[in-house]
Amino acid sequence: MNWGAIWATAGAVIAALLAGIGSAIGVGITGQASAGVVSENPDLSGKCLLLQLLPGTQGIYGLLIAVVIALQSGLMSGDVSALTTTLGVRYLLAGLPIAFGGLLSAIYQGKVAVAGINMVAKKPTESGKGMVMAIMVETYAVLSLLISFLLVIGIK
Amino acid sequence: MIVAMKRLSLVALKSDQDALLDALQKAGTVEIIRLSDGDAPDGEADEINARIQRLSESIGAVKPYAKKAGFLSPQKREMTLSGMREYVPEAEKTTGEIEELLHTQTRLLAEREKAAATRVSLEPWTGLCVPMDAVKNTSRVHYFVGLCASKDVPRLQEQDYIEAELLSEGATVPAILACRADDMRAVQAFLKTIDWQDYVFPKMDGTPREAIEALDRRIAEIDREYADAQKQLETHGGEIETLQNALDAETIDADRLRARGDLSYTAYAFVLEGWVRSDEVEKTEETVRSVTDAYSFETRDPIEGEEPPSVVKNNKFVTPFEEVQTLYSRPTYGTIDGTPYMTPFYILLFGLMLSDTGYGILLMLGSWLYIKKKKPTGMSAGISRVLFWGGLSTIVWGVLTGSFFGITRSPASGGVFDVIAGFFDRLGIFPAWIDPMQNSMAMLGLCFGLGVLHIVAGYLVGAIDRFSKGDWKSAIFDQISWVLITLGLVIGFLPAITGMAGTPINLPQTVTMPALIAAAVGAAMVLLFKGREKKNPFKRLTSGLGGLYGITGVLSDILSYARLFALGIATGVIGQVFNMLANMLTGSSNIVMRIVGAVMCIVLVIALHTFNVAINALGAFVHCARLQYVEFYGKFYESGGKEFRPLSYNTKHVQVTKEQI
Repeated sequence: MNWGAIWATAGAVIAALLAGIGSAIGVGITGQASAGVVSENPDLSGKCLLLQLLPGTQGIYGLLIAVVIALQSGLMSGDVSALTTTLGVRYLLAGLPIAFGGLLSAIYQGKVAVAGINMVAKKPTESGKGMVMAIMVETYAVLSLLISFLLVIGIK
Repeated sequence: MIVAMKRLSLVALKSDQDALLDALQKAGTVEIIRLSDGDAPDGEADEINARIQRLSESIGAVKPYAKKAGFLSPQKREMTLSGMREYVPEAEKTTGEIEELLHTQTRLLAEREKAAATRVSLEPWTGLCVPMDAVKNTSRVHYFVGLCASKDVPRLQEQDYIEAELLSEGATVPAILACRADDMRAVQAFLKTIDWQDYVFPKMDGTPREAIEALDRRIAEIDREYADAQKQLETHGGEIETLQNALDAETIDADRLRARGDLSYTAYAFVLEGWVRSDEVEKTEETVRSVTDAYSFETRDPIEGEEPPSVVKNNKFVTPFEEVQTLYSRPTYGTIDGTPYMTPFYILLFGLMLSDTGYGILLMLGSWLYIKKKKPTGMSAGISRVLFWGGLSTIVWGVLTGSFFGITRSPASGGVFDVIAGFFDRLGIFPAWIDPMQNSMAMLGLCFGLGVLHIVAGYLVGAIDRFSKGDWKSAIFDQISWVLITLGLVIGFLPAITGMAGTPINLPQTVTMPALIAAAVGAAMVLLFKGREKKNPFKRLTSGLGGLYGITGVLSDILSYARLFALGIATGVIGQVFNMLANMLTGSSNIVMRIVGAVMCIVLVIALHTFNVAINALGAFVHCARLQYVEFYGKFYESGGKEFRPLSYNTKHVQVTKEQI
């Protein structure tokens, strides 16, 4: 059994899986809040949609790391003979920052975005401030992405 | 820069008041300050506000049936004010009709609900084959009509003084009981001991079955009437423009009437106090003079304690970026407008976050089309122009870092994408500078470098502002000192930092030593002069130490620019992944499947890249704004300015144009 390939696959899976779950939750709760606001005032749907999109990026970051792991480790091309257990575990560890950073930041960003959507309902002109507040949370997803990416492409 | 404001006092005759307010609203230069306290009852204003309320409700009611405006049709219609007013009587009529229809619908719905409820309650009684009004008490016989729980039915039948007629079976049994009038109280007492529920027949003719049929007919009729009303309502959808024009005309009038309540009055004259931009004072006086020559027009500078509204003025290129600043906050009056300093950095950093030539072209073309066709006003006008310049910067960064719709020089996506990649490779200029995938440390370094530049620029802007105000102490000790610390540390430790990353940049000691000395000087300045107001030397030193702790803040500010690299990678790699996905569809050996695959590949490529550019442009816009607000503005900007709201034409649907004479 090639344990290296299994560990590397686990790394790709956990990155895409957890960050994806986080984004699904984040976009989900903001979508519910948006629907409530839009039912009162349909003109605000554009502003609400922008806020709803913000927690969606973590899922993309997770996918990105998963693909980079798959490409780099040879999972994509199918040639995994050179993948030792050490290398595989390194891929797994490299995937963890975006997995957990993405999961939690997407959920909390979603909560901030929900508050932003409630703010838009009361003061439609202030939607930009709501977006900036939500993006403050995303900073940490971006940092997780960065360190995951640097670690993955550092494995040669 | 922030426009100086003047406080205006205008005194004129009451007889000229309406004409003056009319002219001032057209000029749109004066924000009127409320002088009279308490709401003077104003019948005219109440009336117009009620009309506005009704118009907005009507518009909301017919909006779903109105023809949707084309995606690229202009945001606002162009029309003269008198042209708009012509729509008011017609809109009044339409509003009346729409309200009538809505009212009818509400009434019908209520009636339908009631009929349906009656119908449900009658259903158990269909076994009764005499007319309902035949079950009527006489002098000898008393009837009880009701529903009995089936478990109590035997007990009911046991009572020999009651004649029970059961109409159906089930959990509750509809029953008609007859007894002698003398026994009525006894029966009532008995019924209380069992599970019995009185029922009253609805006041309708015929047997229950006939009544149900009549109700069904009525419900069908109601449905027809409702549908008729609905159809009429839908035809009113075509008149939504009339309603909108009238709404805007009425809003303009309502604003002016409200302004009337803000003035203060004497027997024959009125006083208007307000704020005017210093560069519009003449225009305003000209406006007043064109109406009357019996007036007093005085302006003065704002005095201590007054808070004038904050307006910024910039050249045509920088103006759109004011919207980015407004998203954060307007500058406090009398401080510094950050827009002109922020603009070049915004463009530079936005492009670096997207850094894909193809996406840049899309963004530039898209925003150009939007500006040309939609003719946006207000905030969307500014944002679309910001995206236009951001798109240009994205194109340049795309060439520098070598990415075109996710295709890079190194083949990775397969198929036609590799052909294009090979073409870029032969071209040799793609990437012209750094390939972030191959040389990520250099790219990260570049991002941090730009960050240092941005932060130092922020301190310098603050320093220049304070020098110009004559506060040289603050300029040197609070701003220049930090420039010395930041630049000194970065240059001094550059060989060490880059050495850790594996590609040391060796600077001669003649450069690093003075840099470190400069940093030390800066640090000493902060330590000794941060608390320069404090007399107690101990407290002064503590305050200086606290200031020095700010170095951690500068460090985290610099690290924050790592997002430039990460977001750039996110755009590029996701684009690449999308290409790879699309290319998988073309891999079939069967010729038919290949053609189908190719078509799907094209569709997929378009859809996926549109998604990618949209979500990443949003990310770049907001992340770039954050870098301005937190890392750049944090060094010099004072937020919290009030918005300038002059009396003007404040419309939603119509762009008011000049009257043609």
